Amino acid sequence: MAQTALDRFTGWFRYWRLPLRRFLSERRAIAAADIEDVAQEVFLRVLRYGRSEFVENPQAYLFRIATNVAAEWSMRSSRRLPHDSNWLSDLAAESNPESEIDLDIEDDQLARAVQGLTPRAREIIRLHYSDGLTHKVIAERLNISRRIIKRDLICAYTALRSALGHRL
Amino acid sequence: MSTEDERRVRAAEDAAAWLIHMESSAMSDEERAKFADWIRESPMHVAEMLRAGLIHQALTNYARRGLIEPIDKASVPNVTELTPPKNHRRSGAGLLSPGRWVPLTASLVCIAVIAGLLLSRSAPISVSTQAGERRELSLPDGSAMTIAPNSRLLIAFSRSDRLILLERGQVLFRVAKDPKRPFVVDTGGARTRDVGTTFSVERGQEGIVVTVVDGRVDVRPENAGNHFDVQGEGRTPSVSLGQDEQVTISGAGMAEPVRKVSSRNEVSWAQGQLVFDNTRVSDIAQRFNQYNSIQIRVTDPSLATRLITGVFREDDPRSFAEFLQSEAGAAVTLSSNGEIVIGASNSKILESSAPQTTR
Repeated sequence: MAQTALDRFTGWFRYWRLPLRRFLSERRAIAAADIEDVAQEVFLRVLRYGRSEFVENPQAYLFRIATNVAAEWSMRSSRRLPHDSNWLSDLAAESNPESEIDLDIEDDQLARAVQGLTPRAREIIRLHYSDGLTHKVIAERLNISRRIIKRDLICAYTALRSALGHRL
Repeated sequence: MSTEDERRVRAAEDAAAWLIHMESSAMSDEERAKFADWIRESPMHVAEMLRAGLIHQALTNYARRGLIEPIDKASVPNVTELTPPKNHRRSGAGLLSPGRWVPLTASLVCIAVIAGLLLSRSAPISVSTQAGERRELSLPDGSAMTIAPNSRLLIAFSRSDRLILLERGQVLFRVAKDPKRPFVVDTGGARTRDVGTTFSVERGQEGIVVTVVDGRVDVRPENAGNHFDVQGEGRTPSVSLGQDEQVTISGAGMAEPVRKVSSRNEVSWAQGQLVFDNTRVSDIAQRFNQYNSIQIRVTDPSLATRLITGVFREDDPRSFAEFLQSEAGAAVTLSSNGEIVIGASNSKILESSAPQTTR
């Protein structure tokens, strides 16, 4: 089945970006400490799906299931957090997918973590996440391979993961 | 680092790799299936995947606020150094081609880049790995190292030379060519000098083992008390090693005769494989124990001296125990402290002649 570039793009967007964004906006109601419990529940529901069904679109299913679990989680804890208007951020995520979702991660904490990365990794992040350049274009511009770009990004993710560990 | 932490780190790396992959390209059916199976393996994978999503959003927010300064090449001279070395020589078998190093779903070894080493030797950088931890490191001159578990080394670069002090363990070096700055690996009992090649140096209890994968290096045995002198020519004659050659320097600083080896097998650990060719069970067990927190203990002396040929995953000592159980009828038990105890067989040991492969 041939896919146009546009189809593919909307495909990725629909199949994991939007589910991810919904999850992220729901997730605000979950304390970082609870993410392991949420993951446990998500994992059990994933297994309930059966492999053949889940394999069809695992990225989307994963984040969608996570969104549901997170929503139930925040409803359960809504008595404790009466003013957490996560429905509002959810609405924002739906209506304007390009809007920022605030993650409650302090800027200076993030800044320190990003500053700790190599200059090349920072440049890749800037070009990719801010300027929206594809890996291919960045590779040409910086005269490096796409593999190195992926590797740098993976290193950046794992560095942020360990730097922000308790906040995630 | 506990095994739990190691698993967590690996899961986080895998999750990052998946997210970055799905973000940069559409996933094929096969990749989707792989991803689905990975997710279905463990709640930890789910948690790390969700966290990777959070990091993705955090990075996007941060970058879009314009908080990352564009790179200024003039003020960061090292940037040019960080591009992949163009004149790397590679082994013909392709074993060491970078393309093989980062299979998406296999364990990803993060590359740390050490910058700022060019200017002085005043601040050597210390790098160490734990049991079961393999690290890749790229150096500012474009050279790269794969560091075996349980290793410790110091990196001390200067304008006139590139010096590595290997305190213990094993490192595979892929040296970027620079005839003006020799690359020297000092292991206490021997000094290996090189200008641009791929070789491995191991410093263990039995001495120092240098193996050349590609190119040529000079190994100079040294007696204790020799002066630190990178460029100078020592009194001890040096041993010249070519491709697929190996030399062992004993603890007393004596070089054994040069051996012809399969360097591909010798450095297979760098890819997570252990290849043994007629190797004693006790030596294999020692190798696994160096690389893993789960320890193997061989209690039967006759089994310990048995010779084995085979390929094993370095992080899977159980597969080796199972291999001995099925092939040699060894009695394998798990002790209360998590050790794998391999004892005498109940029946007579079978002679297995054909090389066995376990993956």
